[in-house]
Amino acid sequence: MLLAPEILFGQLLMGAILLGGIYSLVTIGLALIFGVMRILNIAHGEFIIFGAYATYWISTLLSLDPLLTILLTIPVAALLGYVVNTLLIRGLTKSFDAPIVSSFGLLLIMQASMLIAWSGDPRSIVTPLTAESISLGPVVVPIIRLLAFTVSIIALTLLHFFLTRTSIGRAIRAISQDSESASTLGIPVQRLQTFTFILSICLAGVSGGLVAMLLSFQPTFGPEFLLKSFVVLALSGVGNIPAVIAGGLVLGIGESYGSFFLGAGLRNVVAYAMLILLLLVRPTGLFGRRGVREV
Amino acid sequence: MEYHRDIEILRNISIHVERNSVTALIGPNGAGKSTLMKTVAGILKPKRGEIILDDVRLDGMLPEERVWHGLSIVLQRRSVFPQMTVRENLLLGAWKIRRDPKLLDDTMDEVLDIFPDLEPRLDDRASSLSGGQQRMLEIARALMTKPKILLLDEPSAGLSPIMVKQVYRHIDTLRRLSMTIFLVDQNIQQCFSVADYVYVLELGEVKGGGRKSELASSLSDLIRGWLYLEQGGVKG
Repeated sequence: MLLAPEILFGQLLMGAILLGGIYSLVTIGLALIFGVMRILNIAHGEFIIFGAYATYWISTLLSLDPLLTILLTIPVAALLGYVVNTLLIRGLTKSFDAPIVSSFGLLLIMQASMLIAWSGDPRSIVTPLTAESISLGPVVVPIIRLLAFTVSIIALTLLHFFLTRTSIGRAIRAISQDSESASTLGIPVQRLQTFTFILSICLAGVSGGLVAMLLSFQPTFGPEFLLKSFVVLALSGVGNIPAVIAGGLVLGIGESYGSFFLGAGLRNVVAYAMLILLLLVRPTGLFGRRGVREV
Repeated sequence: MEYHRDIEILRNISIHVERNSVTALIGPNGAGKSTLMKTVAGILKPKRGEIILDDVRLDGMLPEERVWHGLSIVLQRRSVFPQMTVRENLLLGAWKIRRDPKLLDDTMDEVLDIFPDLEPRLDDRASSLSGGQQRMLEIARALMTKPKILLLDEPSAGLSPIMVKQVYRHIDTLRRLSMTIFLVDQNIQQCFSVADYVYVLELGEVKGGGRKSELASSLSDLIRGWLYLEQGGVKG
């Protein structure tokens, strides 16, 4: 059955928005760590995949609803974040290169560990809502995608309020702008950097749990999420949370329409073409300004 | 006091800052004035030496720990958080007292009394302020930490003569409020106008110091000597 162009447009747009919301949440952890600690966490995708597996196994072993399980994924991710920060990241924050190398090593270790522990078989989380959908006028919306989008936006909104309305959030933003100046005001820079790292891993874990309900996953899928996050970061100009959401939506729209017109096999090509084009035309990002960096 | 592995930038430094007074450190370019300030604030790490505030040894502490013991610094470079509002900048200075809303409000009121020009700009981004206003904000923010001693590193750097006068008017106000201030500036005339005590730093060493009145007579000789050094001469 052929859809009328306007319905097709609406369907694609809805899919793009829902996808974009998830991409924003997938990216925000990377943006936070980069903004506050100046660390490019190459293992970011592995934390997302770890979140997917943690949600999968907790939900399977405890027979819990996957969406509720995400609440249990958070402390597991926090523990992992604390251990990784203590063993590999803390102490390297003064250097730009060392954490990149260190997190690349972590990528390999996490990937290999997950392969050994859980094999390379693709898995996915099936919920009672997986096959359900609702109609918004002529546009059909899968409920699980809508829920994942809603959870993403709620998480990002809470994070935005935390960063802008609380003293700890304000201090984290101050560190992202000028850590030396923040330290001269009595703000405990290293402690808040540790907190930010753990928070970022928790957000990666939550996004991994949501992604696992939408897509199949396996231990080697991490770098794909890392690259998607790079695209969103480049689009948003390493800016604030609204910019990251906008960046996620632009990527979602680009991918959805690109894969419709060029074929689903070229979905990633569209994303990377957007990245290359953007770096050539507007290296500060669509929403970024030169020299401005905030979380 | 020394810092850095190979080069001794500061040595034979002994400075006493009297409570409720303004102590100025003057010296030619490259004497090590800012290095000394950063070392006292904990941004640079000395190889040896002691930094004591009210019988508490601060050396070995992180910059943020020193703030909790009552030391606050206004850096020479621009250090406002440009993407945040003036109010947010001030609240960040109040990190130490953030859990005491009454104290925080009272401190904010006191600081805005000293810097009334900031009040109508509270909700503006710090980046929208002029250079002089940003300097006022930096000093006001440092006061929000409720310091026992305020370090001012080149407060007139990069400002127009009018703004320099304004900044020094505020420093004078703080002096009259019995604030303890340790000040470094190349603007010797302005430094002298507010200082109670003056130390002279040359090539990383303290060459003398004392009450301003005792040093005033030898000031012109000092400056002549520095100008000679800056023009490439060797002082005899």
